[in-house]
Amino acid sequence: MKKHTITALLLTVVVAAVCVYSGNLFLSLRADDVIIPSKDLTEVRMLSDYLPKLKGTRGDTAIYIFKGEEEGGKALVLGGTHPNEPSSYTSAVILVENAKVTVGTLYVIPQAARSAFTHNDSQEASPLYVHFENSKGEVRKFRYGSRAVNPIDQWPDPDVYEHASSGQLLSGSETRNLNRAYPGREDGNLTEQVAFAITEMIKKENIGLTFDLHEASPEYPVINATVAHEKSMDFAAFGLFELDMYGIDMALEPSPVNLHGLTHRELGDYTDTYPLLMETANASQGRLRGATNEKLALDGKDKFYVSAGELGMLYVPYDENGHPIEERVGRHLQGVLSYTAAYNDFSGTPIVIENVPMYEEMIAAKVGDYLN
Amino acid sequence: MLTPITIVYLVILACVLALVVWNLFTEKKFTNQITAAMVTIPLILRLLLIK
Amino acid sequence: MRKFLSLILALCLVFSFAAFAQEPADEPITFEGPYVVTSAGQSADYKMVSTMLKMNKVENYTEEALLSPDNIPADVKTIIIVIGGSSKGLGAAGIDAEQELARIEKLIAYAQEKEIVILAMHIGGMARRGDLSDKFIEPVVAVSKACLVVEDANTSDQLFDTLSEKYEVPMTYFAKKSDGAKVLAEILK
Repeated sequence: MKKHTITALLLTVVVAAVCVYSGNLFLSLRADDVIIPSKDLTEVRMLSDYLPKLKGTRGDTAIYIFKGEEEGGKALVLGGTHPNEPSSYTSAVILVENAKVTVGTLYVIPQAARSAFTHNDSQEASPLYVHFENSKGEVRKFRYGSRAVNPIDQWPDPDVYEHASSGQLLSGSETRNLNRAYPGREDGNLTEQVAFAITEMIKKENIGLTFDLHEASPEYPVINATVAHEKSMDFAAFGLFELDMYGIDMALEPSPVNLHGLTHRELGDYTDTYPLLMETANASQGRLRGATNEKLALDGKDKFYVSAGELGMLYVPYDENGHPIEERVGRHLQGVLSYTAAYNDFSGTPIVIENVPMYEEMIAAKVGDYLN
Repeated sequence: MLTPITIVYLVILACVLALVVWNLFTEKKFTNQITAAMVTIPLILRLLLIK
Repeated sequence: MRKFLSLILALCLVFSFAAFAQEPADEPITFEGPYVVTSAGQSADYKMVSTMLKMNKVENYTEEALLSPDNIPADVKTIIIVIGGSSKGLGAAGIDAEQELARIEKLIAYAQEKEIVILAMHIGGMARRGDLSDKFIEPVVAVSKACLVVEDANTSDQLFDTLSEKYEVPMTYFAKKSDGAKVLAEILK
């Protein structure tokens, strides 16, 4: 056998080994995270109940429902619209694993963009998983995911993404961004179908209040903020007062009428729900970050962001303490509680959620303390 | 679900992969063989719809 | 005659003291309604101020994010301008920062012409500082009768202290947004 044939065979073995190893890693991301719901959970539905063609696809996702003994209003919490914003998903999981609803109904979708949990963004060096140790000493593992739906599930991206109902033009990769797809299309691509099913669910269940939980890089102007549709503004301002009294500095931002596809715009326009979108500060998705790893995603400590903060380049205060996941999850959970309380006064259709950690409790504890 | 355009894409991908593998085995220079081997990895993972 | 003149002078002195006593130098500044609340920079902070008025049971107020001489209520006595730039807010209003600044300048000119008092507020703290927000601060503070500020906005560069000195506008600082309702309650008649 010639020398170059031997080297080619050796390289083929190496290629096979790399493919098996990396392939297994990539495929492992398709296994769903384990969520252990609270004993007060009343029902689990699937998103495909509202759009049957989603059944069997990675667009289908679980809806956890907590129905109170007393009739009241209905609220929906969307987590994991962008999986690489970990406080969003983690907050929704904590709700599912702890909540008790006494009045009204709470719907939680922890993995709104389930397909986006099955891969990482290319060239971002994102961690595959984040881990939390619960009070029993067990380690809970959640995927880090990507901002957009997996191209394996939806391909190809067009050069320019045209938002269906408005004609708005965005970059082609936004075609896989769930939060640019609302109100969605029944016969659209997977992302649009997921958006359509969520919109349908809100309409059919007559959900009055919708939260969409997000994170943003510290250099993004809309951060530590709540973006509200104009019809949500009045009660949101009251909710913000309560948040301020809890020591949460939150800005209130109006939803631009000409920015389409986002929950805070389209769900307000196309349904009767009052949408609110909340943002916390996540260094692991910022452009100025140093080493990108699980530690950064969880503690938010980054010397480059500290320097940027000293130079006044950021929209959130940033020091050596970073912005740990407990603070970010605490902001989201307190936001859900405070805005719901304000909505209750405003709408007269109350939703009472109990057993969810408040901001002060969350920052004094660890996320794992609230995982089953 | 494989759309027609995805099938066309995968056929093209398979052809490119076959050519790269042919190149891997016919190339005399070791460094060029390494390059060909590296190129095959993403092509294989994509052909199998893993990544 | 000298006794008479002395008596007159003594009386003048007594009355002048009485006059000073009636107008102490540190009399608290107050504002009179009807009020109209608007934004300079289109952040939703003006909504927060409206909420503060509601919490204080103030009824004679209206709010208008894009207040201008064309839509200002006829009987308004005080314009509360809530300063804070927001790219999302400007987008929502369909205008850019320069158009917003032009609107504010036009509104200020109208208020001065009609002798309508302006109360400036900045409640967004550091989040409402920076290139976008800062361009609205000086034009509004310069013509205000008073300015209420969440102190965080002044900490890093003492901008509001500087403007207070430059334009002789009294500043009231408070720690948190939610303290604003109490501060407003003290100054609105």
